[in-house]
Amino acid sequence: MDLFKTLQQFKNIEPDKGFTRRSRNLILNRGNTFSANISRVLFGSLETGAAVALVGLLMLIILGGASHIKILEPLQITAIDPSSIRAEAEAIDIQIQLTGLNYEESAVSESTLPSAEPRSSAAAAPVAEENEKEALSIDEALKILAE
Amino acid sequence: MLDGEDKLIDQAIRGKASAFGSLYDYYQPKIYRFVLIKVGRREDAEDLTHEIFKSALENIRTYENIGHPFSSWLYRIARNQIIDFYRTRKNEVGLDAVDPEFFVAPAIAHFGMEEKLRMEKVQGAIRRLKPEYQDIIVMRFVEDLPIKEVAMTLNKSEGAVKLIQHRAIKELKKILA
Repeated sequence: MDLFKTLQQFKNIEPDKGFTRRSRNLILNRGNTFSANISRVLFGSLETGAAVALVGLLMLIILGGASHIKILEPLQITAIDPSSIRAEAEAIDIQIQLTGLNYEESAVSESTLPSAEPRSSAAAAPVAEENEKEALSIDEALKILAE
Repeated sequence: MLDGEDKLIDQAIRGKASAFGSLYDYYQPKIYRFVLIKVGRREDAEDLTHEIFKSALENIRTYENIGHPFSSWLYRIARNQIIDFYRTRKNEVGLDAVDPEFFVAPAIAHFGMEEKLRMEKVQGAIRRLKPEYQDIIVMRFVEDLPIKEVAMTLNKSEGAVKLIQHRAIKELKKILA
């Protein structure tokens, strides 16, 4: 057997025509799809980026972040003005103090009222005396002292 | 080498499908034969050839024309695909355990009976060689590639290729004896 002659005969092996046609079409169509996908992804990213940038710009304008631009100055929100915020903060502080004062006054007046709740016998006597003392008016107290 | 190959490669790199189609038409039968002789089974050879050209198209932008022929690049992809093929098939039934005629017959059905038997015997013997010997036998004696091109494909010196070729032929003859 001539080995080299047999090896040369392998050159006559050809792939199946149907397979070649199918494979070729699949590969070349895939190549087109691959390029199309790349462009789609690129344009998609650009669109998304542009949309995000636009939303960011709008937010900046709405919140008055672009107030240094003279045209947009009327859009400035006073709530973000530091002096007005400070004034508001001081006002809140005063209100808290006043509310505390009112609370303390009301607490004193409530404590002068007789308690309707029953008390234990041991603790009841001195408390009752104190209540009686507190219940006396100044005139009545002076009268008692004079006697 | 294909006429106007450099131009076709440039066009294929720029995404021109018809240019890659021309390269496919010229090299596909060569790559198919290379794969078929190494793997034996026609269906596997078809699947692998398809994958090789698919991979070539996907990676053609990475191809640099630095004097190496395009075929060397394709053969290198083919060799890697075949290595992956055997790696994934490691746990399956060994092809040697099955009647070789079952695999080779469809691809060489158009040959005469005597030729067919002889080719099957030689093909079986080639498949028993080391992968490196198989590559050199197919590239040098089936595809008639020059020593220089084989050396570029296998990333070896021309002297080394000559030496391996000598050993491969000796080994093949020993198997066939």
